[in-house]
Amino acid sequence: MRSHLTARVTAALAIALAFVSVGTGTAGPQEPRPTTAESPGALLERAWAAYAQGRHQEALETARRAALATPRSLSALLALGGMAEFMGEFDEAYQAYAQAQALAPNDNVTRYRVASFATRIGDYDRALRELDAILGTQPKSMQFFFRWAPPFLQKPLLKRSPALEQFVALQIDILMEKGDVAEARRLGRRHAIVDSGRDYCAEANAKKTGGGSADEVFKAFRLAVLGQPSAADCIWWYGQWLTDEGYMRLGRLMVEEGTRMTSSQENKNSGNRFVRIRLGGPRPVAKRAESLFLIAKQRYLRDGDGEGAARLFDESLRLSPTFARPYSYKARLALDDGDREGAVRWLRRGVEADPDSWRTWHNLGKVLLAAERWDEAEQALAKTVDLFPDDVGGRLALARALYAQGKWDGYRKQTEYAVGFARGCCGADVVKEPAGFFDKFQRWGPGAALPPTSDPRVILGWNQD
Amino acid sequence: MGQAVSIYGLSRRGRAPLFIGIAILIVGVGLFAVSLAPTLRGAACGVLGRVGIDRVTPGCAAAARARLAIAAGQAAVVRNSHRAALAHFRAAVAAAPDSADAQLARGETAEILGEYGEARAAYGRARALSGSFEATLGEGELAARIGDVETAVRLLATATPPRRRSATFAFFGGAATMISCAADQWPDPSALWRECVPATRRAGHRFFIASRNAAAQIAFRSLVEDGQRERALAYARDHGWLALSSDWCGGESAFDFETTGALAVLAHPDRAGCAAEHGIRAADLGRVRMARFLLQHALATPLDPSIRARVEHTLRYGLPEHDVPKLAESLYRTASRLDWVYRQPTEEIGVCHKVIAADPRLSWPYHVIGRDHMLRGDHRGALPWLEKALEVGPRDLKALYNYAVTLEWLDRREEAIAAYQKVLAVEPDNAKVHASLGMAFDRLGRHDQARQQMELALQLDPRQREARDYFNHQFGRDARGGPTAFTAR
Repeated sequence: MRSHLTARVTAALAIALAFVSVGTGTAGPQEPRPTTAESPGALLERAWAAYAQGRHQEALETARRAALATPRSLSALLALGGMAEFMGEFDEAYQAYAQAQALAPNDNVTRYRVASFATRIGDYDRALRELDAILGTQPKSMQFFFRWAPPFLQKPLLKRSPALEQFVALQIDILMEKGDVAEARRLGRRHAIVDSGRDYCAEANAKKTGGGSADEVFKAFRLAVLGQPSAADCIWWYGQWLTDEGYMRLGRLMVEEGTRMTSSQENKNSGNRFVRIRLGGPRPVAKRAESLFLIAKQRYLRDGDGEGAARLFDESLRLSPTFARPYSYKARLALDDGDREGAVRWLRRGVEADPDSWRTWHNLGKVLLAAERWDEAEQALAKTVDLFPDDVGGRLALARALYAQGKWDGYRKQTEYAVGFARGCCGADVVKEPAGFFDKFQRWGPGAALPPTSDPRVILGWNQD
Repeated sequence: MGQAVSIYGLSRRGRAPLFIGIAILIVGVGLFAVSLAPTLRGAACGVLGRVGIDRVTPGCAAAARARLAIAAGQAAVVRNSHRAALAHFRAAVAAAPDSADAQLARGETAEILGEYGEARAAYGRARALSGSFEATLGEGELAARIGDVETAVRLLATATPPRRRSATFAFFGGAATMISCAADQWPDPSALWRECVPATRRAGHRFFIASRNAAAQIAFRSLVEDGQRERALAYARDHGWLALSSDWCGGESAFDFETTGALAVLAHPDRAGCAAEHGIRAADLGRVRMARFLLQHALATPLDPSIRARVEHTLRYGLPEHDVPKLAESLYRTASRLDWVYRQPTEEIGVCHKVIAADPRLSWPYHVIGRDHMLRGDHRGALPWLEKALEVGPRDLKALYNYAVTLEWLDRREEAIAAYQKVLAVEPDNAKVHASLGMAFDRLGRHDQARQQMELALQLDPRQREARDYFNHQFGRDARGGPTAFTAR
């Protein structure tokens, strides 16, 4: 009961997508059912089971053994490639995919996975070629339909097949990351992902204020980018969201696009500042470095794999030495080892690499504050709030450094600004403790205890790291 | 010439005889209508209604009022205001007690609202007036719902839909199958013939059989639920069902899942295990008696260990310990429909109180009332209902879970954690409860335990939303799932 399209592309993609999303086992037809505990099939099953349960390192190691035991097994190679890619072991993934493609040059699952991997490492043209090759294997009538059928026919086709929808979504994302936003929008309209004349930006804002899930809101803003080229605020918002998550390249592209489209000079200035102090300014990040950073962060935070993460952060810095964000994580890793001086060194290297990186200055100031090196902390935090005056956490930290040195006027000024701003944007509870301390200070003057600090998440785009 | 073709052109003096003539005609027709039998009078008034003069015709005025009230009631049903609709249908019946349409509409709406007594009387009257299939089916089904098995079997034996209706049903069922199949197979014309035509034929046949046996299935299930096993088997045999399939454990069935499961148990008692999934589904839907019948028989046969565990779990925790009266079970299902289908929580709560009156030992209605308070944000009001649910049904895990949630809302977090842990003691693989427990730990500042529970939740269900949101909030979105920000989601 399946058409050519669903039988070939969709089924293949469904398998490939199932891998990247949940990691269900996909033993290929050439793979006999396992018979013994250490047979390649059993190893592969164990790898998938470990992967599904979040034991990613174990999954990768088991997949390695499976691929080693059966070097001509496509499913073992794809499993190894996928897991290595997932863990940021890109050289190993590259090798596995190359072997898989040599083994089955016309296999669409392999092609899709190669396209996906090529996107991660920034080889966009290769990715698009692989996706085109998948479509090229379909009957001519289907290709014609997929490329040229009017949107009202495309819509139900994509709705019926989430895998196909993701296929188109990947094409669109690749084009956006390549910087060809106009072509991405054209593709979005052609496949009825977006309709002309619809106010996607208003819908996205409604979802944001209406308490939609984070993913729903994210997707709504993406549609606004695709469907409403003039919606500067939404494009910008999407860019800030991507920035927080670590997608430096697409984040920059979106913020720049939003800044270009806005008519307000104040907003243009603000956008330019965001690019300079949060996105590296004139120091763009290589795609591979960005991907390694994104993966390293999750290996560190979710998997608790400090060693593996540190290696990936180092690799990311080797590829893009002026990319400031990995320095902050290297500092965190040093702090985890109890090496505060090491952390300070990493952060100082970060601000040397990118002197306008607001977040690196912020983190440096906080570490120095924790070390009670008040003077140095004051300098770093003064730089922080100079770069980004609405940094509530930075100002409260600066206020503490000033208080510790008996600079009461400075403390008062910084705290008043931070508390006022935080209350205005996010409610009274956000800075409850510092505000309470400040009230007592105003009434009775300075005391022996130092003012508390907090680092609330107040504005999207300025939160992570 | 104008005077000859249009009455609007007549002079004032010329119009009077015409009006007098029309009045005499209406009175004459009315007197004739009054003298007719109710059925014929209904038809005659119907004809007059078509031309809009029934309201002024003696003998038809009441029918006209009923017609208007029925229309108003139907409009209220469309607006999902069943209580208002029932008032209109009652007015229709008061205006025209002999209107089978009004009685039927009243019966159907009263049944939806759990007014079983009124519904039964209305169906009975409608059947006496018209003898229609709908009225007989309604009365028979209601008898089955309140546990009057003999009446149900007697009435439903006579409720066979007109053949044409079954054919229409089969036609649309087949057409839907054809459309669905064609949407997949259109690029390959040979597949249309090879795949879609046989599938359409099979679907049409299934729909036809299902329609012809709709009433008989209800009677059959009544017998099964009443424990009249041999009689049920004979009933199935008499209706030719055993000849329809040689294997009720597999293949396509024209009947609903409960009838199919019961037929599997009765026809192949040694393979009753195949009805286990049907039994679990019946339990989920609150069909206590049928679920117990299917699950107990399934348990008596060899089963896959994982299925056996689920069956035992459902029997122990998914069903009440005691025998629930049929009336209470049916009212509970009516309450559920008012919630899930009609979205009328106020009516649902009213019916829940009737369930409590019918069976005070059943925990489910107390839980539903408690949950209703929770949904309205009234957690203090929810607590006594949930406590009562747990008092009469200590194994009611859904009530226990919501009790824990309520305790959390009331800042009794340690007690909430204890309640979540009780649920997990029985259902250690329940990802949702692990996530809820994780959130409770997190709110108490016990972050390590929170993380541990969230990790467990994700191991059990990688899509568990609360746990994913927790980690996303803590660590940012996991970008490893896809090569771009969108595909990673």
